[in-house]
Amino acid sequence: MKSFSNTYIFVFSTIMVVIVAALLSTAAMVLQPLQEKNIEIQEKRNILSSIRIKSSAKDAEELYEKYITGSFVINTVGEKQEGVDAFEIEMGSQMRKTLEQRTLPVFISSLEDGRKIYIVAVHGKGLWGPIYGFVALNEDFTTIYGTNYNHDSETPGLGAEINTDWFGAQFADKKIFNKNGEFISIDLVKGGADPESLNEVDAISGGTLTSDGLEKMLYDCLGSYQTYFKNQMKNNK
Amino acid sequence: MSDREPLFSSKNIKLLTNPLNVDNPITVQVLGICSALAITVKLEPSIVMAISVIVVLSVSNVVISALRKMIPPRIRIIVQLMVIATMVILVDQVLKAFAYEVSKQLSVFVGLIITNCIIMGRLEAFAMSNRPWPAFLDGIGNSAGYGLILIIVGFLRELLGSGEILGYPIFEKIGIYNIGYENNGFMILPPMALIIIGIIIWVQRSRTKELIEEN
Amino acid sequence: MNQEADNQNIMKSLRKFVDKIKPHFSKGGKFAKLHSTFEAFESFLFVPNRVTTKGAHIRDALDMKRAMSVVVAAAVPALIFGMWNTGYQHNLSIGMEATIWENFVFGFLKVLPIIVVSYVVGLGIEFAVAQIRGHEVNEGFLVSGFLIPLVVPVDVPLWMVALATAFAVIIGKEVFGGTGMNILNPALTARAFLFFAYPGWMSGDTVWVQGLTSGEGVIDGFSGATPLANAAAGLFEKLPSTWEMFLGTIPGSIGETSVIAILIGAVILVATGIGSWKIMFSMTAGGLVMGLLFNAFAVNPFMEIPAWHHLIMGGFAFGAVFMATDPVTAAQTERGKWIYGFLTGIFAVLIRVINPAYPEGVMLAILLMNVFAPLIDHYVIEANIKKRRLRAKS
Repeated sequence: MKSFSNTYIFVFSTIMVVIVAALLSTAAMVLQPLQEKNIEIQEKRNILSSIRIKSSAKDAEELYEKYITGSFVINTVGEKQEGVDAFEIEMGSQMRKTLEQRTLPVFISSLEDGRKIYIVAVHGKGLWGPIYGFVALNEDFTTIYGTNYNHDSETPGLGAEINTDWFGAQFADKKIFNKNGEFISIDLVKGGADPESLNEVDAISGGTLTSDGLEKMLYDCLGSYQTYFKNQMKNNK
Repeated sequence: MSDREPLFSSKNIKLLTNPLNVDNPITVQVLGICSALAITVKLEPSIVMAISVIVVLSVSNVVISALRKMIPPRIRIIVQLMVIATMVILVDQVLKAFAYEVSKQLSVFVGLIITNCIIMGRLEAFAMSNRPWPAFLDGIGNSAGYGLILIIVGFLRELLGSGEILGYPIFEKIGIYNIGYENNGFMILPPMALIIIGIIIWVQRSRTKELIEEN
Repeated sequence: MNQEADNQNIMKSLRKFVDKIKPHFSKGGKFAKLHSTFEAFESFLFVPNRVTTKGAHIRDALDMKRAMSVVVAAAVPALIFGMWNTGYQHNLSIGMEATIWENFVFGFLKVLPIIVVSYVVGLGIEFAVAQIRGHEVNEGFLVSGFLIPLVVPVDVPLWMVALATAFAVIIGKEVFGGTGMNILNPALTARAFLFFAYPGWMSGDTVWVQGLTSGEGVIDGFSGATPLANAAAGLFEKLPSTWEMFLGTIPGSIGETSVIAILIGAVILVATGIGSWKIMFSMTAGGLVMGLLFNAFAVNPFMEIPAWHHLIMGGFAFGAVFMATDPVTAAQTERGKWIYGFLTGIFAVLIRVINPAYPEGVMLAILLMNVFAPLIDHYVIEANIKKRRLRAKS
């Protein structure tokens, strides 16, 4: 075997590193717009899914333009914030801040029958990783119109059930405030929810920890919005 | 080897076909099991993973083989790793740009191709001492052997675990649920991938005499 | 000619016939390939005239078949009670009055098909494998085939029983080399397969009582949930009384509900020396200790239930008597048996209470300890060697 001098090894590795670095940064630069577009489309599909509209990667943009008519950003005391795009807000990093510092996105959707739906973002911890999604509320800011939950790494067949249709459909028409106007969020009940109850849904059997995480996520995130919701309810009256 | 060998000499063909059967990386060398367990719940990610590994391994093999006389032996492992890592990052970026859904399903496992023992193994054992063309064939052969097993396992797990093939609900269409059939939840859990690979090894060994070990 | 002489004549002519056709099945004979099948049937008909000749066995009249028959006999009370309970629970759920006999017949007709399927599939595979490998057919499955129906819910579809049995025999046993070589208890392997593959049929409120899954008219207030499921869900007010749980008039897997019937089996097993009383005792102790520990550090209501309740709920008693004592998969050394049983009991209660997704911790605990049994034995033997070496030196 040939022996190589230290200088050679040094030069060789330097050249390798430069080539690799150039290659990777070019690739990253060329592909970045496409990747960001994908993430954006995915986000839009999630929002659309929370108002029960099925979309594909192709028509998501178009449907989003059609149904999502506006968006704004609020803080936890319900005041609108200027100069921030709701779409740019990462709910995950907002939820790590203290309650006062959070800025929260709200999307407004106008359905074909003229109803207005308000969509808020939620983000929390599942069993293995983050779970996140959107909750769409009717104009009364109490009744859930639809939900969309996603996860990164929950157990297939158990915790991963949170993004199935049957699970999401349970939330429709449930109420996050009780009759006295107190915020109570939605409870996930093991072993079957009481069908009469307006704030209970079935937990996932075998997905206890994911269910608990989702319940906590709803409580924390919707809770951050509650002042805004209450203000709006007063205005409605 | 001064006189030129034909491109597809029987020796070269063997490089391509042996890893599919008697020298299969998963069932015979028992390498790369981890990813085979993790991403074979559905067929589509299995196929994408197979293709990704084919790309990574064949290109890395060629690159290393072309550079083999220039690479200082003292730092060869680092150089190999660098080539693999570059390829893996490229594949990951391309998937994120053009196949976002699948790349989400594969999540970290594309990145973990770097640690796939098959790839390091082939670079060190074959590409470092062979010319680019055989190295290319060897890369294709080994990664295809890996991919073949992945696809078989992915096919069985998706079909029996979810009743679908590539997302198409085949069992529902032929009405098998009406006579009381149910999807097998065990198929979705990782241990079943191990058991299926075990069964494949069993079948393969009992059919191929040369693989039967003496006790 | 009287009856007895008649019988003897039949046996004699049968023996003659078997002897006559025997050469055809021996090496070189016409049907040499079917040798193992012939062997099996011959030893079914007549007690074999050979006992084990290899190895350090004690060569008394105790062959494997007699051991197996004793286990089956010990499980019969649990089966008979299970059949009656099947009918009883069913009639309870639809609000009908029925006599003991009617209940039993109803349950008998429901349970029999499960037993038949389990035996046909299991023995079919055993015979086929023996045939292919040219081994003798082993009697091992006689017990497993009897225990599988006892640990499944009565409403489980028969094809699932067939699939689970096939899985247990092939993956749980034959790949390791057949009876005596298996690491995991085959009957529990079958149950674990069902549990993970078809969780909808192995847990919940409807599968334990015949008829509930098909939605037959159920009277108000009847719940088909097992005590364990209720406890795991925090519904303590729905727990049946201690006496009911002890007697076994509760929903559950076919043979696991009645502690009394299982205790009768335990007496038979211990008296004949086939089941290890050490394992039964230490597993019970382990369960109690863990239960008491939970009582001491209780943070939720499930931890507060009396420790001894764990012993009469779910499959604890059945597991301790029939599953953990399986001589093939349990620890072999005497001290190992204590450790093995104790840890099984601890894990059973631990899994049960800590992981609400797996109320049936006994099954998982036994399978887990099956895997560890050889390791336990290894260390017990090593310790013994060390001790003796020390003694030899001094």
